[in-house]
Amino acid sequence: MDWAAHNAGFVEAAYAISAFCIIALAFWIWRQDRLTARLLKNLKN
Amino acid sequence: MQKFANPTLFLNLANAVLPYLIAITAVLFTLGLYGALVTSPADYQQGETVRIMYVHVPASWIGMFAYGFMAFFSAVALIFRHPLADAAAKTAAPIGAVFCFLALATGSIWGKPMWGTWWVWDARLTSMFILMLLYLGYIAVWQAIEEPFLAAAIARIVALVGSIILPIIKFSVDWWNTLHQPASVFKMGGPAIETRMLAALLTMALAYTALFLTLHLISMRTEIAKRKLRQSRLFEIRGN
Repeated sequence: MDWAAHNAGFVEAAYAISAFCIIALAFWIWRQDRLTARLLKNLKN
Repeated sequence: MQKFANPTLFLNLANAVLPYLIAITAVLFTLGLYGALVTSPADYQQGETVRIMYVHVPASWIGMFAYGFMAFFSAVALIFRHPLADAAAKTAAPIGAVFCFLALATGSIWGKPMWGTWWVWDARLTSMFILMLLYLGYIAVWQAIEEPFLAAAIARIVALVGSIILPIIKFSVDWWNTLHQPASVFKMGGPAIETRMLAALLTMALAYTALFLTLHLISMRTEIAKRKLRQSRLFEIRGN
C-alpha cells in the first residue's frame, strides 16, 4: 500500500479511531449482554 | 409487525438470525476494507486522503439513519403501544451516538489536510454536532429518570422533535453556502463518483448497516433480559 507514505498519517488516524470506537462499542454491548444473561440464569436457578 | 412485538418470538428470531448477521458483517467489512484501502484509486484533488471518505460517509449515514430509526420506533410506541418499540428506540441510541461521533471525528481528521482546519462552524458540521447533542440528551433522559414509563414518554418526545434535524443535515449543503461539499452519491442525475470508489463506498455502507443491525439485535436481547430481571425483582419485593 504505497498510499500509506503519502498522507501524513491522516488516513491511519481516521481508520484507527473508527476501529477503536467500533470495537469498544461492540465489546461493551457484548459484555452487557453476557452479564445480563448470567444474572437472568442465576435468578431462574 | 404486531406479531414480532412479542418479546419471546422476537428473541427466538434474533437468536436465529444473529450468527448469519455476524458472518455477513465480517464478509462485508473484509470486502469493503479491501476496496477502500487497496483497489480504489487516489483522488485527483484529495490524493490518498480520499480514503477517509470510506469510513466517514458510512458513519454519517448510520449516525443519521439510527436517529430516524429511533424516531420511527418512538412514533410506533406512541401510536400502537408496542411493548418492544421503546426498547428498539432506546437501544439504537448509544450505537447511533458512536457513529455520529465517528462521523464528526473522521470528518475533522479529513478537514485538517483538505481545508487546513480541524473544525469550522459550517451548516453541515454544526447540524451534525446538534445531532450528537440530541443523542446525548436522549440517552441522558433514559439514564436520569428512574421511572421507566415516564422516561419512555419523555424520550419519545425528544426523539420525535429532534428528528427535525435530519432533513436539515441532509439539505444543509443546498440551503446554505457551506464549506462541506454537496451530495455526490444520492443526487439528481446519479452519483458523481468514480465506479471503483462508489463500489468501495457502498460496500462499506452495507458493512456499517449490517454492523448496526447486529449490535442493535444484541442490545435488544440485553434490554429484554433487563426488563425480565426488573420484573422478577418487583415480584420478589411484592411477595415479601
